[in-house]
Amino acid sequence: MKREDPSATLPRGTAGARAPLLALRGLCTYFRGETGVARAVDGVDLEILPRETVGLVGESGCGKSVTALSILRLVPDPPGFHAGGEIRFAGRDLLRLPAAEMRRIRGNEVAMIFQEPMTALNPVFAVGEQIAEAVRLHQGLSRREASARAARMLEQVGIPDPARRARSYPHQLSGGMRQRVMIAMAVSCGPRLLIADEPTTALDVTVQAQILALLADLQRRTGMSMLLITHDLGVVAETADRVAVMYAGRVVEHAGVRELFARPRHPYTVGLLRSRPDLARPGERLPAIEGAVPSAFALPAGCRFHPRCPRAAARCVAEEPALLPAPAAAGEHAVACHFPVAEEP
Amino acid sequence: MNETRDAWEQVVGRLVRRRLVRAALVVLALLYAGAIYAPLLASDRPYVLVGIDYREYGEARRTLLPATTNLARLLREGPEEYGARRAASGGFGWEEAVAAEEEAAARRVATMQAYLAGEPRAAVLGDLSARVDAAVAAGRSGDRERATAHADAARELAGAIQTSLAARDPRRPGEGEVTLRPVRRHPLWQAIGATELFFMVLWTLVLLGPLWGRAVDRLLLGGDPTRIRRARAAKLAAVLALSLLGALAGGRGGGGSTSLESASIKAGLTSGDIVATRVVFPPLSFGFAELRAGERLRPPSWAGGAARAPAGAGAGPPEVEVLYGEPAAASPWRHLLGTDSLGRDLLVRLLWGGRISLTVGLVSAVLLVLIGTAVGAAAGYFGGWIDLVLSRVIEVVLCIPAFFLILTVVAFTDPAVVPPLVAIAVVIALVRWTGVARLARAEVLRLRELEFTLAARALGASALRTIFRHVLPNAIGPILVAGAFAVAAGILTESALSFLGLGVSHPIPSWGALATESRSPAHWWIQVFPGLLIFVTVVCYNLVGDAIRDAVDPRMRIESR
Repeated sequence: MKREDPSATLPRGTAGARAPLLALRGLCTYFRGETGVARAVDGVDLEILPRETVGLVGESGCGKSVTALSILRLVPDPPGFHAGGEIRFAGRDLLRLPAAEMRRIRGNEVAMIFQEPMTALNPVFAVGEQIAEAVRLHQGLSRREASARAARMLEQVGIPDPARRARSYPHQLSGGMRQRVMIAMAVSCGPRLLIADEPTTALDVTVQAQILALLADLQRRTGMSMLLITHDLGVVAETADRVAVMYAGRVVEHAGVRELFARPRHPYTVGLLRSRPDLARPGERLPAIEGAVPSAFALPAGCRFHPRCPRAAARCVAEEPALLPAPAAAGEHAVACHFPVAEEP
Repeated sequence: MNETRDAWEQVVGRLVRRRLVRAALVVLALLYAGAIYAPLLASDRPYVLVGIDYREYGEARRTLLPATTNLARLLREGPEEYGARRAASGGFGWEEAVAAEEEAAARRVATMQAYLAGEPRAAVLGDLSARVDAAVAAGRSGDRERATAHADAARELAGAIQTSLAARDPRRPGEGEVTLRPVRRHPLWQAIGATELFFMVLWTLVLLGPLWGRAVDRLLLGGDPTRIRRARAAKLAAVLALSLLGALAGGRGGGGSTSLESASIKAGLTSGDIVATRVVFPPLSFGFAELRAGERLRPPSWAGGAARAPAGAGAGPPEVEVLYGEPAAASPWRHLLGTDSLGRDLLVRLLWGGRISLTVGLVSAVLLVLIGTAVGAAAGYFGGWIDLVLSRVIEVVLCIPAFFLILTVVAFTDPAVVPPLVAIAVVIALVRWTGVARLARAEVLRLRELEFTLAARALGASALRTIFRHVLPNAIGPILVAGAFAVAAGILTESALSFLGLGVSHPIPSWGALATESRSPAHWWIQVFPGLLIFVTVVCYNLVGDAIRDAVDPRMRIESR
């Protein structure tokens, strides 16, 4: 697979030439299946700067979660395996680290929160114990110090009566509470990068807003970076500094959040933005993108979006577009399309 | 409300909520108590015996001279000559032979001294013992002349003692003139080993746990829940420490017996060899292997056993032999549950038999749960080729007809090398772990896919930590239930083996072996009572296993109802 050096073409963060905390270069994570190899993540380029929130959006099955798990090297192997590319975190190549070293990074420097707070907490331990375990694993605190820290963390994520709640079991807490506990657990060791994989999907709307506000607040206080994985464009618009749009295992568009919402260039992004419900046009039938995400076992040749793309041409079938700076873009904006959308749709 | 109780309190609370489970726990506790305290409840040895054993004294007096003579001969010969004499037959080295003879002499002296305390002529025993010590010391340092001189002097003293210190035995009046003093002994205590004592102390503390636990909580800890919680580990440690201490103390107290007795104390008391001023027997004063020719197949008391007994005294069958300390022949308390075909008390044998059956059940279950969980967890968690290999191993072991393998292995192990109890328990565990392994594998496969396992990895937990702390605690419910069933199955297997005559060796009883001792419906009690105990134990374990499954599952929110 021939590809230009992506770092040259990637847009930089707004804060200038800061070194990225995390940089994915051509990351490929494949899965062996009975019918062949599924290319779930196939050449993802992504950078996250210190203190920055990057939103990673896309439909279900486009490889968002696998990207996240690949960063922590938690893709189950077998059947998954790393097929190429690199993950640089704070100057180190995570894919080359020995397993013990990697364990020290997980939870301590890169932490992750999950979509389902119901299943992401261990049902047989009190939540305080679970937070304390994370702290004890990495910071070698005593049992007592760790449980004090756990109560403090619960307080920080806005749980009332933390000392008592620390003794509760997950089933005794509401969904929003559980997600707060998950967040407390993830940030308890002061990670530099927090990966949030659909943190609000399982929650109802009012709780979603609280959780997003909490994450933003924690980020402001601790200065950590955040990779926010979601399929909800509203969440991205509210929280992210920059957005990467994924389709079929690749990043197809990449821009600052305002720029992306104002001037989407990739036909897929345009379709995504169009398919949102709009209060200004009530009662209208929502336009949908025709077709479905291609199977990772049989990705189309050329541009992966061409079978569903209204602008597809012969070149799209023959040649895969690279992620390049968008023509006539204001600031950073990269798009992987031979015929990017020129103006506002 | 329930958040203020921690995991342990909730589990225990749920466990004892159901009346049936509480009853099962009590029954199991009593069954184990019966097995553990069997030596204290049923033995032919008295707790306390204050008296004079003329047989014992007489034997010590008569054999003191041969013992010193042997010692003198050994010392005169020295190691070389002794070696030459013994070369053909092998056996002891010279050092060991000297030590054995020295000990024999010392024990005889000690026995006589005990009965002769206060008798002025007993001072000569002290001289003798000093001579023996000096002779042995000289012999060991190689000074054969001095050793021989001392040993010969000791021999002369022993000869003098034999003639002068004859006791005034009431059964042979006119033979001697020395008056013996009663000696206080604890024959039952001396028969109890350190391991038995450990479990006795442990079980006493466990059974009384609710009592002293509450007292400690209220008086020492002031009823403060947090302090009570923190003291939990300390309490457990205290119980174990006390049990160990008891075992150590018992090991020292029971070990150094100076007694020469070999025959039954009851027989001695009956015949008049032992004249006692005070005897305290256990509630059931029969040994588990005590034969009674006159009381074969006596039915339980309420089924006519007591009424029938005197009738046998007249005609053909041998007379009922009633020894000292036993209930009268017609008493309903004599052989409450009847006797077997050799006239052994069934109740006593049931109590002792529980030790084998319950131990085999528990040990085999613990072992097989450990093996099964380890294999199953490894297969389920790591997957891939590890799972492939381990699953095939499980299938292969599953294919082996377990009972016949157990039979074969037990039949071919030498009971002198591997105790049958250990062999049976280990073999049961080695062929029966597959059930638990499959269960554990399935559970781990399910749990591995849940996000909290991934979350644990994402927090930096290692594979082992993830398995032990996050996966297995969630799988413990089904595994514990399987374990409880395994105890029941182990008891049944041991019973079946004993039934076929391949269990622990005779005359040690086990429930299965007891059930096999008669197959005639006329002697129903021999099959019914052991069978009933096996049945009750198995049912209780199943009930408790079921309750454990419910209790360890925090998602079961019964208390909110």
